[in-house]
Amino acid sequence: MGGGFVMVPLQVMLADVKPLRANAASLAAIVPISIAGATVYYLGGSGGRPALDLRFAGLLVVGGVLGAYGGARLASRVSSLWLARALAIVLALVGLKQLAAP
Amino acid sequence: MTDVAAVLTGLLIGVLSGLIGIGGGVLLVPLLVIGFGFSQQVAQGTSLAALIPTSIVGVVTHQRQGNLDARAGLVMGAFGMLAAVVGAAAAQHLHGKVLERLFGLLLLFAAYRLWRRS
Repeated sequence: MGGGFVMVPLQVMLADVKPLRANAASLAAIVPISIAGATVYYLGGSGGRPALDLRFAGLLVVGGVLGAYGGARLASRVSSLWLARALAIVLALVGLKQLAAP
Repeated sequence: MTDVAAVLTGLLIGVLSGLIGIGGGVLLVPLLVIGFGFSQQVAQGTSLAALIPTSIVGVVTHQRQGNLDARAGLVMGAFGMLAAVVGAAAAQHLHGKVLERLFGLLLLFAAYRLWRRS
């Protein structure tokens, strides 16, 4: 993962950067971070096989770009408060499941 | 069939990240593990690969709107890149279960932040 959810609050809290600008700078940093990270996963999987699925990633991007555009347009029209809360609960449950899994 | 499901998954993640401004990886990795049976490592690698074009599009959009502090991005990117190489290399050697637990902690933190912010 890119680390945006760490970089954005750190900039806002420590350097008093406006959230929108913090978001932009964090995205700019994620470009080299994700390239470096993905390269290591590609080269260094166990048994010499790439630990990533490039074809799958490409398909995700196709849907993701369309979805992000639609989501950003919807964002100005719907309240995302309950959606964000519901998602926080789902993330917490999945996190607990991963911690508790045998 | 999996191809259609992959595009739809991208669409779902895209809509959610557009709506609530949360990054893709935190949602994508568990979806790939639970929904598609990816190993934790391959899910994380695939999520990183999908982030490359997505973040480039995001940066260009911000740049056009004049929000981009290129210097801050470069500094964080340079240090982040080094850390990413170390982290990604370590992830290849960690047991899948250990990685899953670490990711579980990360999810709890992300959930807490999302709840606080909303």
